[in-house]
Amino acid sequence: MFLSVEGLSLTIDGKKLLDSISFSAEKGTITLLSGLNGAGKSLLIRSLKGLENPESGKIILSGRELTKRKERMKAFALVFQDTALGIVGSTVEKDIAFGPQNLGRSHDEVAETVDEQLAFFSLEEKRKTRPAVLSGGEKRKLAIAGVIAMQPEVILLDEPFANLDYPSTLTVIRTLIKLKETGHTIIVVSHEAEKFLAHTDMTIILEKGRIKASGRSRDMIRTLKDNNVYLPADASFEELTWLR
Amino acid sequence: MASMIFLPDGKDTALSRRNPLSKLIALIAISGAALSGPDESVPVILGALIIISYVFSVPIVKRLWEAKAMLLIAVFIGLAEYFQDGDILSSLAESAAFITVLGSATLFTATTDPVELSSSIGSALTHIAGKKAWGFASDIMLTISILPSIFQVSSEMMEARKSRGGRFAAHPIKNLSEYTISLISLLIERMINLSDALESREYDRNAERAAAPYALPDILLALITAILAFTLIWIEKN
Repeated sequence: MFLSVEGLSLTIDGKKLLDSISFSAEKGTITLLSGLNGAGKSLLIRSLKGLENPESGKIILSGRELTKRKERMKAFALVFQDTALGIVGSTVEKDIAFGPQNLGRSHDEVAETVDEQLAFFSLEEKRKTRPAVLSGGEKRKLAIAGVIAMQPEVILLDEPFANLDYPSTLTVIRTLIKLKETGHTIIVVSHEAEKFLAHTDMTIILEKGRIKASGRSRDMIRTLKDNNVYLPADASFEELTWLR
Repeated sequence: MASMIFLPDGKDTALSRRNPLSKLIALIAISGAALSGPDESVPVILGALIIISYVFSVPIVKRLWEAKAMLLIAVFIGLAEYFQDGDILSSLAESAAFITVLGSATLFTATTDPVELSSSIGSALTHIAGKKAWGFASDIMLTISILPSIFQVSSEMMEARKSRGGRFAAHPIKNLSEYTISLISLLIERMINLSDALESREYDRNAERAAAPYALPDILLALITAILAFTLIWIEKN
């Protein structure tokens, strides 16, 4: 298994917010983390990233346990729900360059990475554009490009469809599919399963900091509905995408 | 007001390509010439500034108009000068000098990337302060980046209260304390989120960064504006 999380628990101010979370993910797959508000979805991906300090549990990636926070920081990339926070460069190309520069890469390496990401995310024409004037979908693409440029092993996305209009949502779904096709391992926190469930491989439902249910996304339609996740009535698994 | 704070327009122009330190020197020189040079030179400097801004497509007049509070201060400066000396031309020159400083600062912020500015300052200061200079430069960059947030959060908070019928003037002292507490807590929340975002992209405050290179036009820009400022100030003093 590419990623294994074993018994992850997190307590803040005496309150257990994540309780013995265990799951695994194969390389090149998309895992959906779903659940109601306050279930602990965002806390779980923040813990994987190293922004929270779980008191127990193991995170094993490609057979090696990530014991240090710095290792988790490097291995996982997190795209925040509020993209405005993650975008720090004054132009698209400068924002993509920000991460690789912080990793101490040479000028030529940074330039090469920026060109690669601009091409991959079809942002070449926006190279000199100010991020503030991009559309919602383009901003989300830029936020993803900015973290992919740091060559992480797993990409974590927190509510990637939040506040996006229909075309922007399609842009993000296409981006996720492209990332999956190029072998990236992705974990998406979302309660909008109806928009892209058909492209996911595994689904995990959290409730009050615990895993309530998990399994192949194809087999989870009934369970998602039973757990207050909206899915259109009578839609087959393949129909659960806005890309139809 | 927020539009006057580092809002690079992202356009690739001869001015945006100039080294940030050269532009900073030019900004200080122009401001010094406007404030301490002869009154007669102020309209010339202001006129030149407006022409330059249009050449480089930076709408400084529009941005100055958005900063009405600052323009109001310019008017007060002129009025104070008039009541003190009774000289209308001198008071107009004082107001124009203040607007020139604002205009040149706007031109500077519209064509300068805060990240490049901080790396240039850091690089220049390492000769004096050693490696600590990078931390100082990072602080400048973060402060500049945070400033627009303060105005945005403040304006969003005011609008939200207004839309629910809140009137600041009804209880100004009580409202001021409430506004301040809400603003500070919102800003702290935003700063924590920003800190997480920077950390997740491996941002290291003390890391050495590549500074923008210097070219002949950079040296000429700094030199010409500095000589101009010294000459005007020397004329005024003598």
